[in-house]
Amino acid sequence: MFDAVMDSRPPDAAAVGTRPWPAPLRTDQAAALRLYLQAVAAYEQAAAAASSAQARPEIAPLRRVAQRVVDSLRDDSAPLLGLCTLKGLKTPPGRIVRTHGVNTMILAVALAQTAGLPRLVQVQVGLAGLLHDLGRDTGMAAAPHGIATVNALLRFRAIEDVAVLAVAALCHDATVAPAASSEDGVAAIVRIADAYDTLTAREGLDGSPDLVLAFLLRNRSAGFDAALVRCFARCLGMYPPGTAVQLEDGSVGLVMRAALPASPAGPLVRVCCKADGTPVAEDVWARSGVRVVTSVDAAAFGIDPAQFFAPRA
Amino acid sequence: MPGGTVLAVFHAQGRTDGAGSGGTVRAGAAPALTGWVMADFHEDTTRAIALLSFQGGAASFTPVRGEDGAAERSVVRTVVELLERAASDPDATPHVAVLAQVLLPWLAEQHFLAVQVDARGFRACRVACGAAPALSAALAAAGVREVLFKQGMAREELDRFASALYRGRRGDLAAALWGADLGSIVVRFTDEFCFTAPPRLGAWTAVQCARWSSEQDDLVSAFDAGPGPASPGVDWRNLVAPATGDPARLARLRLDTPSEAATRWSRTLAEIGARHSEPVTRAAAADALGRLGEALLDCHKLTWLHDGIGPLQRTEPDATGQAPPWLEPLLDRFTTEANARALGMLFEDRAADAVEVAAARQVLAALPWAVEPLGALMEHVDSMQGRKTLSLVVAAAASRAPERLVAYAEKQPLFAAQNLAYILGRIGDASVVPHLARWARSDDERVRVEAARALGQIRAASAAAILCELLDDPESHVRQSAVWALSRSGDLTALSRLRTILFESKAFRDRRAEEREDFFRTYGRLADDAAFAEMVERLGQRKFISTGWNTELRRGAALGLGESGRPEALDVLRTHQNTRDAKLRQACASAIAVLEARLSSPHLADEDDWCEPAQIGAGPVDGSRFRLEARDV
Repeated sequence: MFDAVMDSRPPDAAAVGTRPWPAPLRTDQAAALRLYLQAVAAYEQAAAAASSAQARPEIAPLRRVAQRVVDSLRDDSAPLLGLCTLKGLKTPPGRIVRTHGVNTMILAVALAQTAGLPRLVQVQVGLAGLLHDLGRDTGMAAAPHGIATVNALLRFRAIEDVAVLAVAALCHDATVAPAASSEDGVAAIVRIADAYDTLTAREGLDGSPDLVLAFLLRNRSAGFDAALVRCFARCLGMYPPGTAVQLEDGSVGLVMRAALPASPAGPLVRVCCKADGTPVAEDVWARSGVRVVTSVDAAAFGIDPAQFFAPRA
Repeated sequence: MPGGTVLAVFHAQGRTDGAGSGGTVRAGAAPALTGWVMADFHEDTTRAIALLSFQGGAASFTPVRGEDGAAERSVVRTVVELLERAASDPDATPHVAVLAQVLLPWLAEQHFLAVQVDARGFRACRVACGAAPALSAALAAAGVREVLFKQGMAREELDRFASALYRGRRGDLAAALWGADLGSIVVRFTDEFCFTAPPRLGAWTAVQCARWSSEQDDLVSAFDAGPGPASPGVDWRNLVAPATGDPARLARLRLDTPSEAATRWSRTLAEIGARHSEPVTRAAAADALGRLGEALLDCHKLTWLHDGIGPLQRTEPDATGQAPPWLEPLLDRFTTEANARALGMLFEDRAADAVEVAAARQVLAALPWAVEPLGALMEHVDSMQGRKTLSLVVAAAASRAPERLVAYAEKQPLFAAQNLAYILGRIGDASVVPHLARWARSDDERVRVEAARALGQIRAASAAAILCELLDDPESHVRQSAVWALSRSGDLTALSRLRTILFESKAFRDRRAEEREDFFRTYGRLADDAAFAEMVERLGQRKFISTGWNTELRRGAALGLGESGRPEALDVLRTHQNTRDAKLRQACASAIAVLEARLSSPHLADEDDWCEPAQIGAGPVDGSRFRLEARDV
């Protein structure tokens, strides 16, 4: 049974079913990781400048990052979406660098692309996602974070550049502002991406991406735009990248690439444990068409998604 | 050999002599080239704009030799001529002509380095042509490392490219080129633009779970209390299937323009500041609104603030007379000396955007509580110009509530009240007349003078009536100020009163000559047809012995005619300019000069009416022409 559903060949060689597997993931993943870390660094730089009396943050580097995220997601969304499983990076001195802004940017741009928004708008959406929590990282924590963020955004040189971002930051903070206006696309998108990344940061099964997605899809009262949430779900797939899942043969793996809509091939799953719990060290991929039974708590099976999405090679 | 031109912008790192690494111009399928590269120097790095011509080898350039500036300029001229020829050559490939049209405008104003390309590499020398910063330097600074033009590009695409270049040179060039979405023009960037030290994962540890704050508690609670930890499972297809209205909904999604977004920004902050249930949040929002207001003032975008807080301000009750707490931080920031001065300079700037000025006035009008701090600020400003600038700001703040200014002024020492009276006049609204009427009856002569000056700024019949009363004031300076004010207000209802004083009042004859002259001039300035005819008649009333009051009347009539602004008055005055009466002759000459000046420049603005309050006791200084206000003495 195990052999029937597992394939140790690289995914692109296992072109079975109705679609070919995409190009080897590892190459794309390395480029995506580089971009992800650059985004984290650019955000950190901007946050440091915004909290400094001497320096002023620049929007141009952040816009460049957002542009590259737009291009990268357009080419292949899986690698960057997988990296959204990282919720922080712990530096050697023990400081934790938040990656929530970068994750929100990636998720928001992915949603904007699925919704068919123009490229330039996607960049604004990405920037709004990236900077929606800037106030929290600039030492302005005394104010509610939506307001702290708009104060931090005022440190940028041109108000024209940050006005849309400020509105999104205000609207996404439910503690200070009513839910985003139905016409305000950027704020509505950031709100969904922010909620998804926040909820998937929880420990245990509660933070399982598929459950969070189900919550967003079924919960109509939380101020999320229903049409956009459906778009978001179509973009991420039933089991979004980073979800630990149990396959029909009992083995457990990690979703590396979401299933394309209406595709019978299902998600691309990297098998991490056999049915008997034995860890699988080598690259073993579930074969196309194998049914996922349910999502599971990755930690309970000793699975570290970062090991697969952000290898330190 | 096919004809065509390829333009490439490339980067030659670290070499200014052009030798070596700079030669990687991508010419696509171009044949072997003997052409030219035009480039410029930026510090010690060459960023080249290459213009490679391979039109069948027909294009030839004057060779550049050494550092001879004349030869260099000759090269530029030759290249430009080539482009001009290409632009008008019907046999040239279409995109060459288009390229020439796009590039010629900025070719004419760039710095260039002409570089000869041959088998051995580059030989370079500098060419200066115009003074504008080089485009290629801007490209390099923006991280652009290569621009490739493919053959057969469309005109629209080149236009988009050119437009992105021009737009980007004022801002983020890389973003502008990226946003232009060019299919046949490949723009390559370098990562180093953003990241001087690209981060490495190194010893970092990934964090999988995090709970950053309690602000998402509601969301987490909703999740926990929601449908339960159930995977979408079999419902998936139904859950994600687009609903009927989804396409329309998504099509309606829109991105606010910066002005819409900034307006929404200020309005949202104002609403939070005014209506949020938590005082701490209200205060934070108010402070943020103040910061935003200051930033918008700094970048001259107060329209956005006005559009944001305007609707809310109109619905905000002000029963207690105190500023709403949500506006207080904005008030505090706008009443700092630097910001008040900036606002005043905006009002003074005749080239300023009228919409922006109007918005600034309306924002200040929404902040009547600014009157007191701004008034206090004026007391500490030493220069007259500084007080004038500030007075414009105070006037705007007091425009909807002049009683605030009056109440404040009455508590101030005279020198401060004088400035505030002037400001009341600057408001120029009939609503301030009752306050000025009270001041016009003050026992203090100096207060009456200021009230008269302020009333002169107001175009209202009630103001003119009070000024007419002041024409009989016991004090000369008050009367003179009143008559100046009347001439400025242009209210014809004062004519009959003036006529009575001039021609019937015995007491008028005993007044100072300067005062009498100003009365006559004012009469002339306000004169209707009947008054004009009367002055002509008075001027013509010769007596055999021209002495006494009749002479004074003739002189006064001449001065009045000079202020009438009517061309026919010139002929009348000229018939009397050679009269034997020296004083009358002088009056006619002065009146003719004034009248000619007025006729030649009918829209000539009167000199600025700002002045320091008149010093009581000193006589007015006569100028070459009628002055509308007192000068500093």
